Amino acid sequence: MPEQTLDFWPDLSGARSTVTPLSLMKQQAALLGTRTHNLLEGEVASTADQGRRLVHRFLIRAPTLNYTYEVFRVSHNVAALYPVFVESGPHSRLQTQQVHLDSEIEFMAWLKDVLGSDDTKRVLDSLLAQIES
Amino acid sequence: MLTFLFWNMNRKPLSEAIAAIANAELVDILMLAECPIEPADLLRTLNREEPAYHFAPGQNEKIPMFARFPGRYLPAVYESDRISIRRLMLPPIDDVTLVVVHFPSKFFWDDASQMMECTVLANTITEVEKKLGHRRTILVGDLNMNPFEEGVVGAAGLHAVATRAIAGRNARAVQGRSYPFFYNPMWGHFGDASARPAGTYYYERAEHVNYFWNNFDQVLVRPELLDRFRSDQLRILDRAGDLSLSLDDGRPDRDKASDHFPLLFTLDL
Repeated sequence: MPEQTLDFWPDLSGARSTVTPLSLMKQQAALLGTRTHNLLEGEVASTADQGRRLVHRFLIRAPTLNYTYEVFRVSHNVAALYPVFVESGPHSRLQTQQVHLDSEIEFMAWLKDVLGSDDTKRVLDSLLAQIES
Repeated sequence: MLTFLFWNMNRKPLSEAIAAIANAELVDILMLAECPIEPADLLRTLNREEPAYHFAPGQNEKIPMFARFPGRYLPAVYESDRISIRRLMLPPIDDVTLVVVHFPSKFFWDDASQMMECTVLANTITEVEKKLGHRRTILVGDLNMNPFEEGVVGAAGLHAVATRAIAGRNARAVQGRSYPFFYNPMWGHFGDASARPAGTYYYERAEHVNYFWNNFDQVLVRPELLDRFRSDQLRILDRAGDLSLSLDDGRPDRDKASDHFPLLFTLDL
């Protein structure tokens, strides 16, 4: 009789249903190229900071200007997707308090707010004007 | 030779003081932080005598820059809300990468956050240097950290050291990873050994550890530019023409001027 294989791993089916901050950012980054006929491109650059946390930078690239603008930067623990800590961004309140987003819903709302902000729109308009001038 | 000026203006309307320094020192590249003056208004003051200065636009409006040449020779290549990385491209000289920084205040960020910010900045600089294909890089700005703090000194941070000899080794390996050096001449600008200001920023509070004088405003130089950088021409200014920027005891006069002194330096390009 064959020996029964023992599986000590936890149930991992739930993990796949969690939307990561990185995937949400990548979705939005990909849309920027579509919306601007690739005059501007979105990109998310991720680095591991001394093995303790993942840092994601949301970038707008203007290839024809050879220019990159960092819209914001967030981080989270390597072992946990949330909370997401906002490290830099267009909102002046970031100067005075640490913003943390405790769930996917909070992160999505914040991301929508930042990408739709006047600051971001000013940068997009200015870059497009320069490209098309 | 190009002359650079960086000044955190503490949101004071110091157009006349800036113009006085710019004209007296023949500043070629002017970099400002916490500047409350609209670029057009400052240009009018700078160019009152002759139309020497141009605005060098970027998306970072918090670090306005002006130059004695058209802004197209100082385009931005990477920016965020706290940094503006410019490519100084004045033919026929070799391009220089100019990184201008204004980091969050210690009032709002703890030491660990400041250290991590330096790590991210160091990575960004390395990315830009790879893209541009050289390390002729100079960093200037208000780091809101002293030269001896971990984020400035640490290998994974800015890795800025106190002597040319050490920086001249180009890079150092830690745990198998190589980290390029910066030379940080601000180490030589602490204290009262000379008649010059004892730092760029003064802060006094009722706690056990108090440095009083700080060099938050710094210029860091990559080894590739060391032979172009003269330490004796790096100055912390306490005057702007007829206007004294300091009180009688030498501290920055934050009422009449800014709580930071301006930083002036040159590059032989």
